[in-house]
Amino acid sequence: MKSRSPFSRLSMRIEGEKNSALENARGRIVLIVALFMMFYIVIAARLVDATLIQGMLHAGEETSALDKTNDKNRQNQTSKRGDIVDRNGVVLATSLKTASLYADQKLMLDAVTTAKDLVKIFPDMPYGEVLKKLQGKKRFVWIKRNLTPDEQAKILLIGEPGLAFDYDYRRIYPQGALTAHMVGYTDVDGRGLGGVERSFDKLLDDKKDEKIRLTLDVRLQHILRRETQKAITDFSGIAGAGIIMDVRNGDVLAAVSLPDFDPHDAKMDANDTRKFNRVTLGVYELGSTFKIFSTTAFLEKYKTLNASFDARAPLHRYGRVISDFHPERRFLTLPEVFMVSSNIGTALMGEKVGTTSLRNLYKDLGLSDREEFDIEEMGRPLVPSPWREINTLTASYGHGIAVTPLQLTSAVSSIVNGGTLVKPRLVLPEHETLIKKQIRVVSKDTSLKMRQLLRLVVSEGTASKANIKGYQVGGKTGTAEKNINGRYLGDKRISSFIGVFPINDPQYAIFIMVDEPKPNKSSYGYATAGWVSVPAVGHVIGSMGPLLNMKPVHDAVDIAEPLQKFIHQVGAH
Amino acid sequence: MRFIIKLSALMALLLALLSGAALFWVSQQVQESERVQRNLQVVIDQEQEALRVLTAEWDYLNRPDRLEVLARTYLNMEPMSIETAITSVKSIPMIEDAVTEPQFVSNNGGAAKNETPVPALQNESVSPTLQNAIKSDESDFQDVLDDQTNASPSETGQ
Repeated sequence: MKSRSPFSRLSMRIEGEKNSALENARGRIVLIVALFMMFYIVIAARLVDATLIQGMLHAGEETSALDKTNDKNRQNQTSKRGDIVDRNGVVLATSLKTASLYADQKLMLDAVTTAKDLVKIFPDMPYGEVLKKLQGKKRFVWIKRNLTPDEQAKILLIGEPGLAFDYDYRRIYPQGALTAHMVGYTDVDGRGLGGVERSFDKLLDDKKDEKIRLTLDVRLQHILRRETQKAITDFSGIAGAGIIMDVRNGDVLAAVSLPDFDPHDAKMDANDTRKFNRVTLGVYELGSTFKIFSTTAFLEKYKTLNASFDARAPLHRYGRVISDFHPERRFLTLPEVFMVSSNIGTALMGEKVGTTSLRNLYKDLGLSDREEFDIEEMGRPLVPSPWREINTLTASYGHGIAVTPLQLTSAVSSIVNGGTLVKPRLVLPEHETLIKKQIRVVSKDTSLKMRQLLRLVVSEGTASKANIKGYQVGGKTGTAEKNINGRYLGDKRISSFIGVFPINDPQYAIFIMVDEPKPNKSSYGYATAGWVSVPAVGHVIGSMGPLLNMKPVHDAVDIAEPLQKFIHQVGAH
Repeated sequence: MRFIIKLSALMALLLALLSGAALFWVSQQVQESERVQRNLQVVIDQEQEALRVLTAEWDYLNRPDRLEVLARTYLNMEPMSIETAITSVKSIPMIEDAVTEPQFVSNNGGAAKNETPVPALQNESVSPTLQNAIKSDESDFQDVLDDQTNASPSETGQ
């Protein structure tokens, strides 16, 4: 049983002490050889695995996976942002992956033919320029950013290996110009530059898979835009603005500023007047609509509608003359002052209320400070400074004080909803808080009286064209002369109307303003609010009521009925 | 030196080989699963991207101004208004001959583009093949009913 060592032939047998040393060395050599053999076996096994087994398992798969690591390293990539949707979930802004075309000139096979084919797909690109981009030795030359899927398919059909695509995200606004001012827009790199895109820029960037839900409703937005645009076109106005607000919680259901712009057109000049948000940034002297607030102040102080004011002759105070547009030349009761929109009567009312009370009410209603809102483009109201006694008189009928349309609408909402302060909002909270902090600005009694007065203006006064049967509309007109460089121009006006319906239990406030309307034949030479803004608001109410499933009530009580005893032979001067 | 292969060493070698093979198999499985998962993730991402595109396109095509134009051009209907709104059940007139199924009114005289689409069912002008199809559908249904009620083993299919 004598086994032979593998090295026996090469070795000599040495007895004694040296024997054990040799045996040791031999053992070590065997160990090293075994290790090497193991090593090569592992390499062989891995080779078999990598070439044969993996190859058989994944036969037919594409080898494009390598490209993806490349993508992540590339700088200047427009990243995905969160969506913006309206209150019903209709997409207002979203990020879509789009392909952009670039040329790899080294791989280009036939630059001339390719250039001809490309010009066929993009007729706006000059042939010479395209050819220049295709010839040369550069590995990366942009040809066109953000292709449509259709264009991409056509380019793939050319089959030129030198043409390649890079993918990044582009901001898409499916509603186009409809919500441009409120939703806003982004630049080429996806940074928000206006509206919600700007004020929630960081949130939209960080939470890519979440949505911001706005209070807007695209259907109402469309109705409001259509009617405001029609009023502007019919009376050749230069601009306009409109708001629909829920008076109960301040939700801005629609807000348009016209003229508007296409949010995809990022290259547009930043100073373009179309980008100006007239709803929140523009401050205007809105004239007679302000009489709502001075009358409210009067009712808060004296708590009665039974008051009369001397409107027989223009009012002379502090070297100024205050006169009426349609003078009645007689004593007017308070409801009459409001109904015929008498400047004299309202100025006297303001005088009785006093500077402090009037200013306090303006402050409580948020008319004297910059309003807090969900977008950053907010205008600061122009309030007389210093406030003299004469300013109390003029401010009571809306002269010498300028606010944004949004401020006016929310202040009126605060008055008619029962007297609690309304803060406008554009972004719907995820969970409606159950216990709401309500700040009372006007007593309930005053609120009810104001509803009656507003109803009176529509049923008997200057806003009869908004009297939509079945929906009990109330409101107040305002026609203000424009103040340009400190002078009031008689032929340049701002016509506005704030309507509230149903006035018996107010739900919605609608404001429409037209800048510089010009008289036309159908309005018999008038360009006042009663002819311009009032019918527009009437049409909005007529369209939105059925849309919102509001049941028309034809036999509802007219809350202005009790005021009839204060009305005497109006217009018989 | 003697090379005596003990049973225990043989077992150990066998075990090592086996566990090596098992490890190889498991690692292959893991790699394969990871690959499948990666591919699935790519497909999911593509689907989600497609969904985003389709949602955007849906909302683009449903723009209120576009719908308004389309409705005015192709539908024989007018916008809802307060005058046409029905506020109580009593204002709906009673129909003398009860029609069980709602039927669209065909405006044959008008231009084709203004015509309300007419449902194909129960209409004289339905093509013969479609009528046969409807009939055979109904008879099939009757057969099924008969089968259930009789519960007989007779083969009707032949």
